[in-house]
Parts: sequence; C-alpha cells; structure tokens
Amino acid sequence: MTPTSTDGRFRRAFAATVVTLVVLCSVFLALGYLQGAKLSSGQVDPATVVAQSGQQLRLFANQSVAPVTTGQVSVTPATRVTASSQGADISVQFADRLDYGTTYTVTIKNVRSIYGQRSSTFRYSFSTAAANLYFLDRAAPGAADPLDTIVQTGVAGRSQKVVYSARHIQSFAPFPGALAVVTLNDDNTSTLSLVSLKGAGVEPVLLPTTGVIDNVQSNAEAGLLGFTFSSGAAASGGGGPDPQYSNTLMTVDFNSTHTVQPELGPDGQPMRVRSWFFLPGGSSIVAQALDGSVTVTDPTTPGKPVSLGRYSSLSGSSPDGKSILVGDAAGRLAYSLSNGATTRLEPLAIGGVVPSGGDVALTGNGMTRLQSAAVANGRPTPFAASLVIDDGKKPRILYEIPGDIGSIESLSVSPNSQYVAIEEIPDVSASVSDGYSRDARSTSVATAIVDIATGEVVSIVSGFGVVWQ
Amino acid sequence: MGIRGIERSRVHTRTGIVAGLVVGVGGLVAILVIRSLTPVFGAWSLPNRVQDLLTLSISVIIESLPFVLLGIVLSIAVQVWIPDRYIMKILPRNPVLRRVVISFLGMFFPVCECGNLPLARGLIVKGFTVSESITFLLAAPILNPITIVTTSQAFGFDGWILFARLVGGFAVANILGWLFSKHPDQDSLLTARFAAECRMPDPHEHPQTKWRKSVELFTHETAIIMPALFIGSLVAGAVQVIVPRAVLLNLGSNPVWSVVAMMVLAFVISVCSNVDSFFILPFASTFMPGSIAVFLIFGPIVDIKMLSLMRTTFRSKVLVQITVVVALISALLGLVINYVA
Repeated sequence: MTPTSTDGRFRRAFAATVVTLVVLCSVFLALGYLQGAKLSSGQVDPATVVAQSGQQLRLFANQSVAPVTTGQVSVTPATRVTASSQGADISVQFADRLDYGTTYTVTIKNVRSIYGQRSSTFRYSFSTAAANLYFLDRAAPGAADPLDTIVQTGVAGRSQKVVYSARHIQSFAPFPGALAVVTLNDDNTSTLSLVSLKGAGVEPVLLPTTGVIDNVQSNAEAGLLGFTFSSGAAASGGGGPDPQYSNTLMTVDFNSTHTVQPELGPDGQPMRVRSWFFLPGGSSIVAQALDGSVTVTDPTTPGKPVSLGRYSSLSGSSPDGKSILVGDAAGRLAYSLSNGATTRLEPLAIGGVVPSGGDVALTGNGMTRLQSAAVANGRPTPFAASLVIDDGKKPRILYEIPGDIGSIESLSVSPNSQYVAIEEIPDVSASVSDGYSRDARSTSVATAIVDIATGEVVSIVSGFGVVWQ
Repeated sequence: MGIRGIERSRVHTRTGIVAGLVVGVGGLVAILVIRSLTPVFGAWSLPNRVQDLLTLSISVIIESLPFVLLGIVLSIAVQVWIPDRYIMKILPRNPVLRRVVISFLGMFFPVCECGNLPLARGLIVKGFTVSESITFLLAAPILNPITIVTTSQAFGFDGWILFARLVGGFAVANILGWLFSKHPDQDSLLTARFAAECRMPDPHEHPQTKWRKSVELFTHETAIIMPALFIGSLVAGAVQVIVPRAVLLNLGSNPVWSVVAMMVLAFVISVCSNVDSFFILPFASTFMPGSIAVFLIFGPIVDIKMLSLMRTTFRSKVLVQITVVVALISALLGLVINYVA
C-alpha cells in the first residue's frame, strides 16, 4: 500500500465521518423543528401553595414559546388561576390556597414555539403537602404516670406521633424542628423551654422574672414566639401594688438571640394587652391594649405601632391575614387591613331563629365565616351546640355535637381554609376540669377536624390546642 | 536532537533560568514602584473593560495553573519514573480495545484538559501512537473522577446531562482516535518541533539521574506550555469582553441556536472540565438540556485556551479536523437530547 493510497483512506474516512454526522444532525434538526415546544420541567412549593394564596407554578418549556394566556390554562380539581409567560418560562398563579394532600393537574393547550407554528399541549401534575397539625393531650388526673403529651398527626388522625411529653404542659407552639413548651410549676408559675424535635435537647428560655405565661403563639416562618406575661400579684390574680409585668406582650426571636423582650406600644412602654395574635403571612402582630385600642406592629422591624382604632374585642384574623375580627357594642366586624373598611357580621336566622353567637372565625373566602352557636333545633333539648357557616346570604349548619349535650370551646381554621378544628366537650354535664391553674380544660375535651366544604367529620382526636403547620 | 542538541538545550536552560530570575525580580520591583506611585494618580484606575479583561484572563489562569502543573508532574512521572512495561502491559493489543482502555486512563490521572496536554505529550514520548494520545487527550478531561463528581453534584445522577457527557466524551475520543489511526504518517500530525523531540535518543544512551531528567523535563514543558496558557487565557478574556454574554443567552431557547450558542460560549469561556458544570448550572433553566450537554462535551476538548495549548503539539490542520468532528458529534448529541428529553 503506497503512502498516497493510505493517506486517501484517512481522507475518505474523515469525509465519510463528517458527512454522516452532518446528515444525522440535519435529521434531528428537522425532527426538533417538527416536534414543537415541549414541557421540560415544573417547579412548585407543595407546602407554600396550601398555606398562602397567590403562589406560582413555574413550567419550563424546552424552548421559547409564544405568550401564554389564562384562557389556555385549565386545572383539575378546578381552582382559579392566571397565567403568563416569558421566553421558555410559563407562570401559573393560583388565586386561592390549594387543598392539602391533593394531586392537581395543570393543562395548557395550544402552546406554540416562537420558532414554529406547531402547537403542543403541556400537562403537569403535582401533589400538595399533607396537613400537619399538633395538639396537646393531657394525662388523666390521678394517672400513675401523669405525663402530658404533644402529638403530631395528619387530618385523618390515624398516624399519631408523640413528639414531646412532660408533666403539666400548659401550652405549646411549634416551629420547624422545635417546639416552644410552657409547663406549670408546683407554685403555679410558668416555665418556658425550647424543645428540639430532632433530638432530646431541651433549652430553658430565661423569663424576665418569676411569673405566668398566657396566650402562647408562634410565627414559625419568622421564628418568633409571642405570649403575655404577668409577674407578682398579677400572676396570682390578686391585688396589691402594680406588678412589673401584667399581661405584658413578650416576644422571643428564636432565629437570633432567644431573649424574651417586651413589645412596645405607641407610647414606647411595654404593651399590656387583652388579646393579641400574629398576622398570617408575615411577622406582624395585632394587639389590643387594655384600653381597647388595636394596633399593628412588627417586632422584626423598628417603628411605632400603627393604630387601627378602639374596639371592645379583638378575636382573630382570616387565614390569609387580610382581615381581622373586631367587636363593638353592636356586634362583630371584619376589618380590612388593606383599606381600613369594616363590614358588620350580622348573624342570619336559621330556620327562622337567629342563632345565639359564640366564637367566630373568618375563612378567608370573602366574608364567609364560621360561628359556633346555639341553634334552635325543635327537639326536646331546645338548642344544639353547632358550627354555622355563613356567607352573609344563606347560613347553614356545618357541624353539630351529637346528643345536644356538648359545647364548642374554640375554633381553628387551617391556613388554607380547607378544614376547621373544633375543640369540643361532648357532654358538658359530665365534664370534669383537669385542675390546671392556667388553661384548664375538661378531661373529656376532644377536637373534631371537619371539612369546611362538605361538613364531613374527617377525624376526632382526644386533646385540644390544635396548631396547624 | 543529538548530544550537541541536548548540551545546547542545557545551556539554553541555564540562560533561561538567569533571564527568568532577572525578569521576575525586575517585574517585582516595577510593581512595587508602581504601587508606591499609585496615590499620586488619586482616583485614577484602569478602564472597566481592561479590568474585566484582566479579571477574566487571570481567573482562567488561576483555575488552570494547578492542573497544568499537576499534569506536567504526572507527565514526568510517566516519562521518567514509571517503567514502560507498567503502562504498556495493561493495554490490549487490539487497536480498538486499546483505545477503549486508553479512554479510561483519565480515571487514574484526574486532571482537567490543561493538565492532560503535557501528560499526552509524555505518553507520545513513552510510545503511544499519536491517535492513541489523541484518544487519551479527548477522553480524559471528561472520563475522570473529579469531572464525574462535579457534574453529578451540579446536575444529579438522574436526567440526561451526566449520562450524555460521559457517553459523548467516550464517543468523541474513540471516533477521533479511530479516524487518526487511519492516518498513514502519525508523526506528520505533530508539530515539527515536538516530532523532533519525540525522536530524541533513549536517555539511557546519555546517563542522567532521574531527578535531573525530571527537572529538565519540568523546565522544558513549563517553558512550552505556560506561554500558550497565558496567551490562550488572555484571548479568552478579550473575547468575553468584546462579545456580550447577553447575545449568547438570547439564543438560549432556540433548538438550533442554543446548541451553537453553547459551543461558542464554551469556546470563549475556556473553563476547565473540573468546574465547568458549576459554571453552566445557572444557565440550565434558560438553555435546552441538549445545549447544556453540548457545552459540557465540546468545552473540555475545544476552546481558545485548549487550542492554544494543543497547538504546542499538533499541527493546525489536525486541530481544525478535531474541532470539526468534535463540534458535529457534540451537536448531534445535543440535538438528540433536545428531541428526546
């Protein structure tokens, strides 16, 4: 074989390789153009999408697509959405919070690449996070090992897990990976601890002085714990000289110093409050001072509290944090935090009789609210402890305690307004107090988890103080 | 190169060391003088574009330098310290199988493409054919443990990217190795200077200690490769300053242009294979997956810095041929992934 012929063999091999590769590239190039746009991946936070409205599903096409409009998008199960796109990125925004543990399928029709006319249908499914809730189950009085337990479970209540036990747990508030736990001492004062859920670590939190803690709440996202604190004579409910702390609103930032600090009112002095709560979706606190004035403040940012006016009561907010419930001499009002407008929440008659009102909770769906009420039932026992759902037009009974002998103690609506936890005493006549000096409960207290849309009782757990997380 | 040539080389080496010392000390003094005069200029500083050029060029040099030095050290180890039989013994005699095994030598020499070049030179000196050294040179930057770990860290084991990169690297190396094995005159693929060095007589004919031989090789390889690295890095920095990156990104979601854009980006950026996964990761949401794979296959083999380094060893025509075939194989893989993924 001469050098020339072998050199030619290299050239032929090189040319054949190049030609083959060019042909193959051309084939896949044509196939790529004919195929049109494809859905590459999607991104959604399954936990946030049930906790907050306005969350987004982001879909990534494999190439830039022509603008996508809301009309092209459908969702199963149905929920309100808006859609937009930029380049290869399509955003589907959910107007409402989604349901727990549900598989949603988003379909976008007629998606066109900007490089061709062929249209495609994008379909993306995702499952939302299951509900996670905590409750307190106190030991029966006289039990051999009287340990109170904090239990974690889902809405079905089947897989219950004891996450912490101790004697005389007064109340608790959950954080990611930890619990703030208040226990009662033998002298009826309170002790505050931060308990790790990942190990056995218990960190005592130093209080300003000996005293009692009430109305404990957490803002898990901001790492904030809040409570009211009373010392000295105020702690025991007695008279005497003005104590240093009396229903003083305190906060602890567990993301930084773990130091208990009083919240300051408009006058720069520690706030003494009747009622208070963290506003969902941020770190703001709404508090009602002893003189009835309601203010909004943010412990994480400097600045004076904003005054919302003076009311006779302050009882909670909607799950989306857009409205709060206040009261005046004539009844309850929903106060819009976006524009300051108030809407009177008049209870409407059911069966011709206006129910006698108890606790009210806004659902975050307009003015639709839940109200525990004694409803006339026409039976030998004239009133039933019921939960009424009222959209301001046609109220209906969502839930009744069987036997007409119980009472509804409190309500807690899940962050996505899908469920309500109803703390109840099934038989008031047989109820016995657990004897705790703070936050005493009936020994028969139970909590029913009810689907707000259907009224179905999903589960009943033995305990109280449900906190949704 | 005969005995006289080697003697001339030694004299050149000594002269080079003295000259290098003088330049180095002089440079240091100049920097100190400039620094002491800087306050006189007040707020004066280099124009932004020049600062960008220096930053980008120096970053490529800093990133590459340790691997280049490691590659030179490994090259010396292969040439001087490891007996012929240990390397040649493990290689099959069948040419195809031999190249397949050579493709995976990078698993034992985990350096990026900059370090593989001196190592490939050492393997040619040691007795590899040029086509075999090309197979090693093209496969080792991708089929090596550091690159596999960093790619899997960036893109995970699921999805197409890691799989495509490994398959692509293997295919490119073996196809080009097979192609150049068809060439009748392997030496003609090399630069005249390197081909002459390869024809140097066996060192046993002119006894030297292994340490002395190692030092001489280090000096020699460094003197050849460092200027290429510095010039390549400077050109890569200059092109990045001149061509706005936004122009490339705008092409990101077109099935064809994204592949081309990624090749151009890889060519210009000249980032090492050990870290390129993390560089390209932020673009993964903008660019199509096939074009990301193209970046990770094409970049370690063909870029400004690498061509500059390879030019010390291979003729320009060979580099053009390598570039064409690598570009076509990378593009084909990218288009297939874009179609399938």
